[in-house]
Amino acid sequence: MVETRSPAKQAVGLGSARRGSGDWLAQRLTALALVPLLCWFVWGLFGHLLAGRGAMMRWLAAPAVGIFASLALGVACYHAYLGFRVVVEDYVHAPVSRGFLLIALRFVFFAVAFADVFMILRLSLRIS
Amino acid sequence: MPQFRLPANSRVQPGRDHPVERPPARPCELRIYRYDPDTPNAAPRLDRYEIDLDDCGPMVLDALIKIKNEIDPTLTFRRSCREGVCGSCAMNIQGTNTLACTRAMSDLGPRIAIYPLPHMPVIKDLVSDLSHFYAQYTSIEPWLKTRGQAGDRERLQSPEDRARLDQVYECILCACCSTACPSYWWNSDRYLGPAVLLQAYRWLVDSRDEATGERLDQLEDPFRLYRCHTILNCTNTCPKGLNPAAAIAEIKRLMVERGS
Repeated sequence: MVETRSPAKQAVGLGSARRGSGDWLAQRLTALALVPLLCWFVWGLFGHLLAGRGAMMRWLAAPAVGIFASLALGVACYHAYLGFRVVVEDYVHAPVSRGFLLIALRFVFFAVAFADVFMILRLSLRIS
Repeated sequence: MPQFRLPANSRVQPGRDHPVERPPARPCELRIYRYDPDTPNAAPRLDRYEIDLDDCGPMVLDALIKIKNEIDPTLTFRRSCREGVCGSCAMNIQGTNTLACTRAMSDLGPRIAIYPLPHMPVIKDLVSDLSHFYAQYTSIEPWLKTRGQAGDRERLQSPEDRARLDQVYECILCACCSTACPSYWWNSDRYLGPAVLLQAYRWLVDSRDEATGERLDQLEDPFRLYRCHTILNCTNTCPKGLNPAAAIAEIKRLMVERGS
């Protein structure tokens, strides 16, 4: 098919979205925050798991641990959402598929983050 | 459905042999991408030419000109200055985008593969269609923008401010960096690419330009700027030794600076 739109029209497209720097910065800051948070969480989880499942559950149910564990999982979900979104934007070019996947990613990662926090809260309330 | 193979008429086929009549003293084999738009549905092919390095200039462009003059006049490529200033002879040589006029054959071994710039529409042989690339360059408005009336004298610039343009203004727009960037391959319709972003930065750091905010507004976009994933192919391949990746990082820093 012969392209009738001028190169200038194609280059300008729909114009600038005037956003993007916030997500870019958030991706880097969450990556930075995840280094200590995930190291502590994985170390604590497996360290207490060695002493038995009950010990691990009691550790996770402590208020301070619960707060930081929720934070770690919430930040991890947000970071993963931003990363997956970049992958979709990079490689999925069909507008319908791209739009569907970008909306689905929001739902999936929000649901996972909510489930993480809910389970930790439930554990804390049940054990304390 | 995702497409995992090139369309049939884009797959490169074996081409014709063009051996020399006399055995060369210092032989060199060039395999050159050929595509003829006048033959409908013809797949591109890789023609093989033999030359004698003792009877040819030292650069790849010398060999291409020799082939066109003495062996195969149908071979098509762009060239102009022959000294790395115009950027016309940008092509993919031995897997790297560079300028044929500044690439010495002695560094490339006895077999040299030459293709057009990657992932661009091919007009003929080694000539790519750069219309979209130039339109993207025009879209950043690459000229000095000021407010109010022009003064009655030159716009002054301190030596320090002028020094900030070094390693930025030297870009010759050969498109080697943009066409080496995988992000530009996948999203060139919206991503500006390293060459255009380097030029955008050139006007952002110019102390005489008074449209910095508007320029940043135009660049702040998930695709125009933020498709750069710091792959650094651009910096590796730049035939002028420039660093577009550093310029892009500086633009991102300016974005954060004005937002905080």
